[in-house]
Amino acid sequence: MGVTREDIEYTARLAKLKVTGDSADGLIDSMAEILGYFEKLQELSTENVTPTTHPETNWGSVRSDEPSAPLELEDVMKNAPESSEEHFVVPRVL
Amino acid sequence: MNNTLNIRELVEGQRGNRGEILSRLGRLFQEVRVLEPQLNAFLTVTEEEGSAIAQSLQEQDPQKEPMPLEGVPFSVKDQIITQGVETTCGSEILRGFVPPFQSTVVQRLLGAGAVLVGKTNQDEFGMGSASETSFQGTVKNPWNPDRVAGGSSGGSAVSVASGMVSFSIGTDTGGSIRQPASFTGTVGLKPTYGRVSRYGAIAYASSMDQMGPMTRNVEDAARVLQVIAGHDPMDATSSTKPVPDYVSAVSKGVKGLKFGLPKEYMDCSMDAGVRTAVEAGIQRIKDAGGEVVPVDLPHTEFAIPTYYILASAEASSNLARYDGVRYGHRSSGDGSLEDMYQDTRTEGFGAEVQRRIMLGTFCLSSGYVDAFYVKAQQVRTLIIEDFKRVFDQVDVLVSPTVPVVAWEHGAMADDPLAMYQMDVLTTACNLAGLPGISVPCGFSEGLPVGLQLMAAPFQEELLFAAAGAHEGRYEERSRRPDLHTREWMSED
Repeated sequence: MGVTREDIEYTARLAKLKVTGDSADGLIDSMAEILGYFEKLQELSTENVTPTTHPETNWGSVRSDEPSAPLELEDVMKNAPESSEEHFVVPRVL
Repeated sequence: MNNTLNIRELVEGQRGNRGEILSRLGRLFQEVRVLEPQLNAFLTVTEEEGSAIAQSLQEQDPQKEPMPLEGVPFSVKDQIITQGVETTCGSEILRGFVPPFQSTVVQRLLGAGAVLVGKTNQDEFGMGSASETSFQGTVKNPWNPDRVAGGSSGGSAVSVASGMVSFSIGTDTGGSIRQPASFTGTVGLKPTYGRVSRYGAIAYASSMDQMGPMTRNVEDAARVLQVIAGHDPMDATSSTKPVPDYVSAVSKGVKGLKFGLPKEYMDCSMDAGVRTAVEAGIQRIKDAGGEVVPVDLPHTEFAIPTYYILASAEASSNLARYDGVRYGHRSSGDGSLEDMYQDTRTEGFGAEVQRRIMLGTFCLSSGYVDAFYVKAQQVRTLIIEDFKRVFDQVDVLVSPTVPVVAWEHGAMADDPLAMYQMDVLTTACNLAGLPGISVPCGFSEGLPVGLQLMAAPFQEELLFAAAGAHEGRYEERSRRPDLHTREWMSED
């Protein structure tokens, strides 16, 4: 199917990725080819077919809604690229 | 020197004789240091952690009954969380991430006495069929280093095939345990969706992801599944069904079992050598007393587009969490928050992961969601109905795992669609949530070929019975790649 540079740039914005120059050209070609292949599904009539979100399984019950010990704050925060005490630091928003 | 010990023999060897665990493990790590430069199977080798575990095992009461996997060395795909041990999923975006919690699977294995040797290399976030997209380079096939190891659990498969560990835990979303098992001559089991807790498996496509064992023989796979299967309160999709005795199922035989040979699987474009090896495998099942009949799975040709739409859509949502705020890579730029998100993700994700996020986002976007995502969910229903019809007629399905042997490095790196199409025989199993196992059944071009067996949900016992019967008649079951001796397993 046809995929335009605008399609790629719009989708990249939704996905929070940057595509520019050569990377955009490569993506246009490969996505057009792959999405064209995906269109094969249109050969099938699926009228009145219920969509499946998960395989059937004997799902267990959910946990009881009781608080349990949280993760160790120190172990969590040491993975943060930038932190201040118990806060994650991000670029200024306001 | 004895490199043929299975898990049962290793565990039995501890009985009243725990004094050698540490020295045996020391020889193993020496072996890893020699083989790793050739194979690149590991992202992290956990010598310190493994030695500490071995030390504590060695200090136990010598008369104590051995635990089910006591002293057995294992590896874990880097897609799986290991508390206190770097976990990257093969991605730059998670470089340096040290998880503050433990996955249920690893917790159960450590509780059973297994010894962690390391985290294995893989395709980035499980997205690939050749283990060539890791930020730490390509995994090499021990049968021929010019060939790929398969993927995405290629490092796990190679760590087992080369004798560096007794078993590994891989993840399988569209064939990522079974395909590398086929390429490396190992046994790879994808359990039923819900049989093994996914708590701590870094999510790729949550409705299909499942963890499972990779081993050198069928009984070892049963022993590992025995430990990791069962309900987990931390995963609401894990089943409460009781865990049967998988180990005894291995020797049950196949007399009275009916096997279905899907016409569509055998009619696909397949290497002649693969076809010959698979037909020999099917003959072994017949010789063991199994009845083999042709069956139809008419929607097979739609499995790959269905799988790649759904897997990419789920991935685009699951991978939204990598934003450079709480863990992993963050771009060093000083722009806005939006710039930081975009730069972090563009720098941190490799090309294939970005392509799949883009495909998934596109298929979920306004104007396309019904034509792609909902349509694929409907076709998934038709594929599941195919299997239900077939499992009313037969007990087990038998087929090739992959239509080819391991290809040369780089052969498909520039043609993603061609690579996706190599998953033609494995993806439907995940769409339907079935258990599937790949077992070695022969060689073509000097490379291993895998036979795939699939059963109805929660019928892993049938798979073990069939795989065990096949293995018992497979004369080359002990053939190993030509690497130097594996002394760590020796008795002395």
